[in-house]
Amino acid sequence: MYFLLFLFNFFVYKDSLDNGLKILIYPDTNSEIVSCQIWYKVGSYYEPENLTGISHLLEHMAFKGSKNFPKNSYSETIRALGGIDNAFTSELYTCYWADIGKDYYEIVLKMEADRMVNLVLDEKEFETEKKVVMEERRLRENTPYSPLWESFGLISYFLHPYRQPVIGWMPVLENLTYEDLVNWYKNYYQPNNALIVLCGNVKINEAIKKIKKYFGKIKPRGNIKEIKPFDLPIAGERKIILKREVKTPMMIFGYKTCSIKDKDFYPLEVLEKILLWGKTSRLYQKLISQKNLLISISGGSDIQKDTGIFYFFLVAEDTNKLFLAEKEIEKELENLISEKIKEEELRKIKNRLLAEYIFQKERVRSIGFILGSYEIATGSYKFYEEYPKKIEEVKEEEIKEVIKKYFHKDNKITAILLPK
Amino acid sequence: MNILLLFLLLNLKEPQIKFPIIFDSLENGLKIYGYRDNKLPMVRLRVIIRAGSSYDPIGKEGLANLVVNMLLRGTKKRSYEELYNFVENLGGRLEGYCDYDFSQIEIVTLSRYLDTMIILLKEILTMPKFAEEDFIKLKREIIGRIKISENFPTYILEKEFQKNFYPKDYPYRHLPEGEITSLEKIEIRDIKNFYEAYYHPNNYFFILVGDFLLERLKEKMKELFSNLPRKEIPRLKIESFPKIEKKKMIVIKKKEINQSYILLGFEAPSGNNLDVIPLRVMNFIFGGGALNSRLGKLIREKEGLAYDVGSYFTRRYFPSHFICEMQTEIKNTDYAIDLIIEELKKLKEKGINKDELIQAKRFYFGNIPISIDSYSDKANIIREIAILELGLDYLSRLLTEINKLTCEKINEIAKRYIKDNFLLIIVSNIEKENLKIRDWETEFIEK
Repeated sequence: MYFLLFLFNFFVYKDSLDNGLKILIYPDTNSEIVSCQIWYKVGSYYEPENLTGISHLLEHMAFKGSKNFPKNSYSETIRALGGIDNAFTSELYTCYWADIGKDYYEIVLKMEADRMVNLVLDEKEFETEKKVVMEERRLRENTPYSPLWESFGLISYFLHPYRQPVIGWMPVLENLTYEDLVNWYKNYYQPNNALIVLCGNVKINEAIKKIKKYFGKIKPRGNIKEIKPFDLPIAGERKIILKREVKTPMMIFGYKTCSIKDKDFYPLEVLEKILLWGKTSRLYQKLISQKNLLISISGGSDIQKDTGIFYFFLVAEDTNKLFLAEKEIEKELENLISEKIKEEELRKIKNRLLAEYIFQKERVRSIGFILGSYEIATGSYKFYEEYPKKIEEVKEEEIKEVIKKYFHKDNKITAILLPK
Repeated sequence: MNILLLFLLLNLKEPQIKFPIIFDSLENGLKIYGYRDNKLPMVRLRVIIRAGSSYDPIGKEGLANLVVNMLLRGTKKRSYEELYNFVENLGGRLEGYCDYDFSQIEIVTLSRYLDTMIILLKEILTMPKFAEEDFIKLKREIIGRIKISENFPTYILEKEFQKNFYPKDYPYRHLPEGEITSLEKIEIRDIKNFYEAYYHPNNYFFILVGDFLLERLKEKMKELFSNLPRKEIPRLKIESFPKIEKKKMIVIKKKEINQSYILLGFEAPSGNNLDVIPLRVMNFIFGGGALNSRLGKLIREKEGLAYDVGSYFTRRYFPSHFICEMQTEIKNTDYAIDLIIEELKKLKEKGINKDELIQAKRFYFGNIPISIDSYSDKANIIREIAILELGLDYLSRLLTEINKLTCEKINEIAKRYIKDNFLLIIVSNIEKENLKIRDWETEFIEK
């Protein structure tokens, strides 16, 4: 099936301006719209312990208006053109996006440039928006997943900023100051820390001209200090047990793996699909369909910039079944090492991954999200372009090797949530 | 208002929308809707069966969902695993889904395997295995998923709202997956009976979006499906429609949560009622237009009371509901409720202004291309058009209708649909004595 990809044209134009602003353009003349995205290289990864959640709070504040587009006029203008807009913050980046008719994307560029240099940060509005973010955090606290995930993060990383939730800790949020916010904006919202992604019905030359018109004159405020987070070696199993009013016990367990640039990334991707992808996956079949031990299983290879974790998220009807399922998963991992992985099983996974590579491109916004996130996490969107080839090359032995290398007790982290 | 925005609003022009839906039907009543788009070598292939959870018999809620999922648990030729492996070996996806008005099977496939997948879809629809063992497993899995959902306040809120808002026997009184107690009562013979009643060509419509050859598709569909016999489909008989006779508040106490989940519900018309278009525009202004709506500006932007606040209409075949929803810290519960009620009153008594209407019109005029960007979006719009019988030219008509709207029309609609009586549901860890005493019928439930 790999040959099919040659029939499918995937062209991305990459450029940058003198001020350091990076540009990616994916032209798609079949689409009637343009997804206009601006990505800043800032998120919880960059936050010290006393500022957790500040990147996300700044994302909220960025909708309060800029010098030339005061109050809510950014979103109001987009709505008046029939567009939709939003933003999200993760560990590594903050992304603002707007989907808009092909004739109007220049207006979005103009407003984004104003947001980059002229954001109006009002102290009173900051206090109100902090309350909104605290409500957002409460909303998550009221699901059983969030406390379990946060505990899992805390024991997975003792010092690395991945231990901090993107939304921030509640007591830290309460104490964030207006000055913190202004400094954060000035430090990170600069052209040399930003990436523009345009996907949809655009002509490359015209788009570059428009980007230059609005962003070309913006001078960087200064250099952004690179941070090099570190962590203690895991050196033995880590476990945490929580108790809450829940109807179903849950468990996340996982193993520390590698960074996104490591060669193990691809065999771990294929392993994830063998174990956890859909109803024909090994673990769904075994633990839900056949043995009735679990009511839900999910997980996978979550690999970030410096490091990664391969995790399993289990939900059972009772605690006994939960622990039995954990043992069964470990047994399945051993089987994968000792027994031959059938060629047809590997072929099926690779075919699905290759087809998904095409299916993912249905929506121009999604293409932009993929390009932007890979460009920031790996330094180049080309990582994504090479993905099908690298997947096709994964061999059975490499899958067995990664299991041997990472999936052992001294590298294991477990968080359990039990009913009170 | 900035100059750019002002300029945009002054230049209001109804756009021309190109959305050429292909339609064909077979003599046995099977309908085919298509939209050709060859930007990717793929097709979204759906069969919709007008047999959603609203067709569940009373006491057997969740049956329609079980039936559509049982079809994917194997055919007379292939087991469950063989069926999925067949699709996945060719890189495809296979999924079943049950909504209130319909059930759906979707295959997402590379274009080159389209014929193969249509043949497979026929096998799924006409040769179900319905094995007892698969049925027990499926039921267990769905019950498991319901148990997980019960951990979430939003699930409790939605379920209790529907149960208390709709009259007994009304088709939208339960969630499509049913309840644990109702699922336990369902037997394999119920599955077979439901399938026998509703799974016939005159109750199906196919939707294809993507890269396919029209003539070839027509031939294939004729060859495969024209020999299926038409059968009479039982019609739903509805005795009474939703009507809230007095203000009522139901508080569901849930331990360990630190917010109140608030939902106010009003009656809304059926999805193909002519009032739906002005209602949608009214809702966009009031609470549907995210942070730019009245509710968003007041509750979130000005007061900082909630992250998520808004209002929406459910658009279904039979009359359903209009909802205002938010979550806020427990101590703010009464204040937030009062604000929403006050805002509803303002809308009803004072109506909307001209600027708000122009902004809403501009949004709808520009939003159509965005709302149909992906294959999935296109298939969803076609499904809505078919289920609600809106007509193939619906998107163009929608814009013409919106263009004709006046403030007076919206205000008249607001007066008619925002009634004095409503149902308020709260899921919270609030104590009874900490809630304001209101002159409403009130009920407290411990969960």
